[in-house]
Amino acid sequence: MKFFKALKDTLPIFVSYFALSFSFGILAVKMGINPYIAILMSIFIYSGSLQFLLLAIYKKLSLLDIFITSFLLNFRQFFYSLTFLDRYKNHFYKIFALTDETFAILTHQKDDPKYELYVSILNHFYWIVGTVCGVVFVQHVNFELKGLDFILISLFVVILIENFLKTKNFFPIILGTISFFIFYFLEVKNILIFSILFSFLIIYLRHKYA
Amino acid sequence: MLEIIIGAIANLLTRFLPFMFFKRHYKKFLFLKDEFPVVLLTILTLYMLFPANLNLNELKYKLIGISITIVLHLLFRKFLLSVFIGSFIYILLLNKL
Repeated sequence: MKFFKALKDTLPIFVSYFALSFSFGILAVKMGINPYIAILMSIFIYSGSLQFLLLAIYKKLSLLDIFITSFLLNFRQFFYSLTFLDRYKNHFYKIFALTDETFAILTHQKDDPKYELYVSILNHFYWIVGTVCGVVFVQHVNFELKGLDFILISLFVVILIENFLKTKNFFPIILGTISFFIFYFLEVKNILIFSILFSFLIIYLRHKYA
Repeated sequence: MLEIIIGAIANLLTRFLPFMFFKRHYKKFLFLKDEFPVVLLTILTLYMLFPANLNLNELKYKLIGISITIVLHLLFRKFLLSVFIGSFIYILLLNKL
């Protein structure tokens, strides 16, 4: 019965996970990633924004920059894990599968190890199935479309809007914009890392002295 | 390939670090919790909007796509609708369909 409750609760997630990971599968293959690697990414990374981001940066940045950017992009998961520290004990898989959406479902529910496990597995499963379908689709339906990578930009824009509507806080958006354009106009080669470190410093100083 | 493994490891660390080390020290990092992820998303979005070899025509289309995404999202707040219609319009414009 708990399984059916999980199935019911995760149905909306199925729609969005499938659509996103389907697009991811198509884009990955179009960008020259081996189809099996794309599927492995969905199994072992299982993070939409990071997977799309890796497609966008993997040819451009050094390994260290990729590490730093990926780590910081998903740093919010650090806090999800913290929240579930007691609840999850050391259940390896459930910790791994704690995505934004899984967190959102579980955070309002009471402790229930079985139910948590079902929700985690189902969401992960939707994500993988979508990727496999995307990868298969792109190999059978041949089409040339530029600009599919725009999905990542609009994805980020939507997350930013959601965040703003929730917090009504303009500061981080302004700080990010200023940091980016400082280094953009200085024509620094490594804009991403410089602007990230710069804004980190500002947030730190603000936290310390404000 | 190595790039992807590095990204995967970074991702695993964000999920497992609290269970490994930070049970006691996490309070030191709490100040990053709310604002820093948003700053980072802003920077990444701009980074993708303004690549080093900027093409003004593409930028114009991207800004149109983003505006549509923003308007749709403020109106309906349906995540998939905003993302896919915005992207769809951008792809149409870019491919001159």
